[in-house]
Amino acid sequence: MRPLPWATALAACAAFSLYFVSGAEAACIFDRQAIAAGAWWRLFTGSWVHFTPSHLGWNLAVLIPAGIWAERLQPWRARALYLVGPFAIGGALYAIEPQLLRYGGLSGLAAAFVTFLALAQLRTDTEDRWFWRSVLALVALKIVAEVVVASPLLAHFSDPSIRSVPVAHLAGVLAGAIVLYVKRRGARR
Amino acid sequence: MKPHVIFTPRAIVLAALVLTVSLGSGCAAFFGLSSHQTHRSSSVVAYLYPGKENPLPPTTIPVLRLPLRVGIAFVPSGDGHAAGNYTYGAGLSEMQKTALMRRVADEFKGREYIQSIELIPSSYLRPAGGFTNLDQVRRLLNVDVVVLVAYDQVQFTNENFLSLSYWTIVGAYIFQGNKNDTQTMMEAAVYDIASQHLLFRAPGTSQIQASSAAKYVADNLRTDSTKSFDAATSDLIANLKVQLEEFRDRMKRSPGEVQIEHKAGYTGSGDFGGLFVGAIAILATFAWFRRKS
Repeated sequence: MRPLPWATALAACAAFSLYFVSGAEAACIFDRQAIAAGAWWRLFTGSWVHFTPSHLGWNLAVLIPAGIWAERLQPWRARALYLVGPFAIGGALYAIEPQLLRYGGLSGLAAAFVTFLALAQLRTDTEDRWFWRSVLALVALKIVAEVVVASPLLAHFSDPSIRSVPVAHLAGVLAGAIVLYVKRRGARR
Repeated sequence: MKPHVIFTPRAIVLAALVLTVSLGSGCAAFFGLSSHQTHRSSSVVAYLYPGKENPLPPTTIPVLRLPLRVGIAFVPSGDGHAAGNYTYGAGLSEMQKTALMRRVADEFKGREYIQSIELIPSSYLRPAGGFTNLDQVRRLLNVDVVVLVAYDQVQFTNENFLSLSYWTIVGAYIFQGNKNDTQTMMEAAVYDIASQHLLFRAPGTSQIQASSAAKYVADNLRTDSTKSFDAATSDLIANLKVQLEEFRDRMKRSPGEVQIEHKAGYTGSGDFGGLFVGAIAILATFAWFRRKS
């Protein structure tokens, strides 16, 4: 029997709740000054905050299918990624982007799961290797374009005061790869 | 021979009429009213383009570096002087201007794209100062964008039939024989100082009508003036919010109209967007068809 993707369901519900509950954004958003003052949980919860309905919708459109598939394929590693990924992304943003005052969005975690899933599939004898390589290329193209062009490729922010942050996607990709390849204690080759 | 004086009834009535009219107009003159107008105004165009009948439009694209440092200022108005029954009012006091500017500022503080809102004292702007003066203010107070507020207020006072009681003197204290009308229009024009580009503007209007006894007309007009400015400011704030949203929509629809840059200290977000999802969907469709075949 395939494992139930309860962690993905929980993550989606959390994202919905934070968007619609009044005051939740203010309490959970990645806020540099609040983190420096001791609100370390914001490194984790910041990923679940969204600014517009389309922001929430499109990120979940990527995370939910990738998360369900990953959880069915490698349940415990996928669930570990839900715990480790947001901290890795938040930590990278805090350390590498000192000018970033506030951040929100699941796209970093979604990039982590897309990478995790693609690499996990490429480790198997799948017939669709070209598809998974194309997915990885698409993610890489998006990150490179965000770094070089300073514009969110394949996405558009309706509010011009909000910037795309490629470090979040890069950190997510690395977290996804590391969680997939890290060896379990006592695991046989 | 004794002089012959005739006190006919007709002569008595005529004399009484003349006396009544004299007393009545004397009362009106005593309180300084029959009808009277006061006008207070300032003009953004007169401040920015003094002596220019056809100012040239700006040629550079405005560059807005977010989050913005915004300044609010009232453009200088004319000095008060009187001409017959028409007075050019001296305008708002500095305290009144500060209170109104603070109201506008409080409504827009806390927005992500606004770093700070500075209330610029009137003394920083000189009459007909133009963009040169604005540039000095920009350097002095480190503001990027300025909201210039201008106003036009006209106050009328006219007598109604109750003013006939004024000839009794006591009536001038009791009967509301004067009808006062205060009409105010305010305008806020938002300029990017560096490019001299008008970003957007919004109006605010109000009208207050009231009656008063002759003795209290001046006080009531002063109170009505303040109330009318307050009401016009409320209308102005509501319209400013609407125009600001329309400006933001216009920036999204026509991104070449205004250039957006980001300063240090910004809000970031990760977004995959519909295009990425679409690209994955196309790839998945290809993979599915390939498997089918």
